[in-house]
Amino acid sequence: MFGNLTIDSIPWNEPIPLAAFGVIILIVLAVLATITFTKRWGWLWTNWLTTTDHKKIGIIYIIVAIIMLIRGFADAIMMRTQLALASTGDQVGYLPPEHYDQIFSAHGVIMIFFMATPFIIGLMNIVVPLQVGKRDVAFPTLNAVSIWLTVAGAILINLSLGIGEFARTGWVAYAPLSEKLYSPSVGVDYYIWSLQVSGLGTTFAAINMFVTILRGRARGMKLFDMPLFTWSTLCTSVLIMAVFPILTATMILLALDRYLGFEIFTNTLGGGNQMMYVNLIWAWGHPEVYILILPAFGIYSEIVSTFSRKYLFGYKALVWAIIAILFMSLTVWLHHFFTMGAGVNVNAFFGITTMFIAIPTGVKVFNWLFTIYGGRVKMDVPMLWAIGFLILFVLGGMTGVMLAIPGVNYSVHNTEFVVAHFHNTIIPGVVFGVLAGYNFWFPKVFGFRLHKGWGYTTFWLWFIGFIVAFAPLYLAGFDGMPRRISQNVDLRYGPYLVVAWVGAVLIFFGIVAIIVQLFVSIAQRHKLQDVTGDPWDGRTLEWSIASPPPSYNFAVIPAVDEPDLFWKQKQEGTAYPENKQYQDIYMPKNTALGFVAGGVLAGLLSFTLVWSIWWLAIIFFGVAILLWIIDSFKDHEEICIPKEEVEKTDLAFLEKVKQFNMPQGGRE
Amino acid sequence: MNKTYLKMLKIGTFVSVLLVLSGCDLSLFNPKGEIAEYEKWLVIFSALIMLIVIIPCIFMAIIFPWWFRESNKKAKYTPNWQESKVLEKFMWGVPIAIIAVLAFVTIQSTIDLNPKKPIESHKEELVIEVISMDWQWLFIYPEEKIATINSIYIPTHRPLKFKLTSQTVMNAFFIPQLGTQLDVMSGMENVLHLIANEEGVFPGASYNYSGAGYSDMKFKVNTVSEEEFDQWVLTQQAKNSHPLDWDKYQEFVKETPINAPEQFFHPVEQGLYLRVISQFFDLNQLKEHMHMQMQHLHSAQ
Repeated sequence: MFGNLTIDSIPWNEPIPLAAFGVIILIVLAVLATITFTKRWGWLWTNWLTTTDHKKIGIIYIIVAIIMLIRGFADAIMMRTQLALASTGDQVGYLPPEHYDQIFSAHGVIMIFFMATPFIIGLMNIVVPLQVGKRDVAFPTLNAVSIWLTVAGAILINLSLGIGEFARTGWVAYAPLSEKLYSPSVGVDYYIWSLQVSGLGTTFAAINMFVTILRGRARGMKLFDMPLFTWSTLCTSVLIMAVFPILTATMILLALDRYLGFEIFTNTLGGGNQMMYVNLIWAWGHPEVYILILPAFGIYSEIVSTFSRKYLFGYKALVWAIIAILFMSLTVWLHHFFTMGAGVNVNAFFGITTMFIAIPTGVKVFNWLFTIYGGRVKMDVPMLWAIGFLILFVLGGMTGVMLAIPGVNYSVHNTEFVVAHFHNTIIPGVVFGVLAGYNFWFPKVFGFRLHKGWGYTTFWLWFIGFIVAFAPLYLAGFDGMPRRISQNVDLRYGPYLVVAWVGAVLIFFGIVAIIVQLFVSIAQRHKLQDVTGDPWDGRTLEWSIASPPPSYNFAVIPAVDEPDLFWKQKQEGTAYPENKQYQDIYMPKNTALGFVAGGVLAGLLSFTLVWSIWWLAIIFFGVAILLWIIDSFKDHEEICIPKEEVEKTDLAFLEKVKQFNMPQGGRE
Repeated sequence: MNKTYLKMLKIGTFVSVLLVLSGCDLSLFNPKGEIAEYEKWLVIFSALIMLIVIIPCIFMAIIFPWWFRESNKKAKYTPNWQESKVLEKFMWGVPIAIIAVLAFVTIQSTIDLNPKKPIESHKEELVIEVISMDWQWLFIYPEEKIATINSIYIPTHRPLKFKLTSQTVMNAFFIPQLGTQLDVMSGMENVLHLIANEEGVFPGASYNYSGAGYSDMKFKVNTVSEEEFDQWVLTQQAKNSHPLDWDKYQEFVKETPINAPEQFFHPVEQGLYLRVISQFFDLNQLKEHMHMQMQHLHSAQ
């Protein structure tokens, strides 16, 4: 009846996951109770669960990302504590390997799929339509489906804490370790389905962004008039559409092995090939890290230019560098398995293609530096993140090129050096980037700025915490410490691991500071209010409208002929045109399809698949598909916002702008 | 000189000396074989050549925002400056030049460090067959008919040929101070050539995560002089009471020990290693493989 699911699937005898799961359940119950008592269910349903507004969907993405950042960090600090203990005397620590192995697997999966990716897609959702002068994304219903698929995946992976267990295979789940023979429990099945569900959401989001940018730009906006963040989103979308199908296919093949006894990646007599799994997973996995870093490059470009109050130095070079990285990132995946015994030519080829990426990346770093040169730098929180990124990221790039040399790779592969390297690119690259973007665009979305002092505190805790946590790991890697060990760690690694633990504690306070900053800012929202919609003396279109923007974004879609149009208009004094020709605006109506089919049904479907409850799985799948088909036959109704209302709102905004003298855009 | 500055200078020097000294101790910078020595210099060279541009970049990332800060009225503001042919050439040129050098070094070093390439020496190779299991290492000396668990003895200055395979999942075989790690997979063979130049006891381990006992998949590498090695072989061969054959091997396969003790065996069944690989083979493929091995043997004779 319930497949493999029994009452014993709950880890009654393991206090740590049970307690963690208990806390999660209590928090969820508290939230649900609060909603019930304040009678907010109707509000929640119409404003959030069924919304098709790209800004609101972006906010949900970012809330998911921040919650999962906390979950993923809880895993990180547990690992650091275990390693500090296991290397300084008692050798055993407090976590047995079968628990530790789940934690590092979950940490990787959560941070990549449920923290970095949603954060980035959330920012894209919010910013891209505003930057290209569009009222919504190309496919609003699909957008709702995307977000709820991501949420379903995130809930599924957290369920594995209390019901069954998570994979003990690392975040790329190499076969044959991830095969039924060596991983008989449901851990890998949780891995497969949470990746499938959220991966589908990510693919849909990319399709949406791609079409939005190519088909939805404002009048006159040529590709080379697009702001850099939009450019990076376009390239990222292409990359996602190119490689996520590989992930989907790989997971299907692994599922066939596990559920139906196929022998595709096994090492038993069936003739499976385990090297093919490694090949496929990295054909997706390596471009994936560029999927994360390219949008961050876009964010830094916007911020460096805005806060230096200067045109981007070498706009075209920056764009071509992004395009070059997009294509090059597809040609390097084999550097993840130099040590698998490929021949000289193969290893040398992939080593060289990998280090070629350093050329456009280096060009971008120079571009940002020379954008600052000759500027009038306003030091605010987003700019501080950008400078911190420039200082730390070049080191991560350097160690990356080192790893690209097969001879160096032979001696540090799979050591803590690799752990230090990829955290050195992902934390200062992606995490600093999304936190910079969060501080940068927050006032646009909510109408008030984030607290500056707490922003600085957050930055310094992360910046110093990162150095303290990962510099010792480079040294431990040079000293030959293998990654992913948890027990009986050699005593000579003790000092490095204790220092790294201190760094993790600093980052912990950095995360606390993010939360404090949010609450302090909400408390002081009147003081921090952004009246004019342009708190940073911005350059691109999104700053030319009110904060928060009306649901339709632009009262009248502007005509665009260059990337820094708003900046130029401010200098010429034509930034806030009056006497516009207002028209009725039609916006898509709410839809329950995303929440019901994408969230509830896909979530239940993947849960039943994990536990092999086939009859229920078939029902959920059937209903979801049916709902989708029915929805596709419907004429999608639209709400009409009459032109009188648009005019009234817009004039009120223009009046406010006049009242508060606007910054002049680069004038003395 | 100001006293505080002097104190800071002293502390700074102390810390950097400490770092440099600790650097000498790191296994990568303390190689005990030719291959590891080569890899050490590759690491240092590649880092230094990139630091030529990385250090100025970090410097600029600190100085530029500081000098061009809003409150500094001395700094010249040029909001429309967005192109410079000279700088553009420099921006593309420097990374291209560095990567060109590194690409050349990559090709050469990849050829030199090819793990399959035998190490040139007038001495005969010592062959060691390596089998990773859950969660221990079995080492077979086919010519000496000795086998060990989680411990190897090797002579200095004699080229070593490791033949690697796995009984279960993927693992990676790595002795950091001798250099080059290589993956081991079931039903397949990887070949790794190394050499040790100094005596000592060096740690080795699995570097590819393979399950619950992975942390304890360590082995000891005892590097001794050639005379001592020959002596060790004779001692092991004299103890004739611990044979290792296919049946005994099947016992190993069933257990999954964590932190397994060292063990020694003699004699070892001939062709055990090949049998371990071939259990994953298709029969036809196996025949072909055996045929090629025979041909290889004949041609060698």
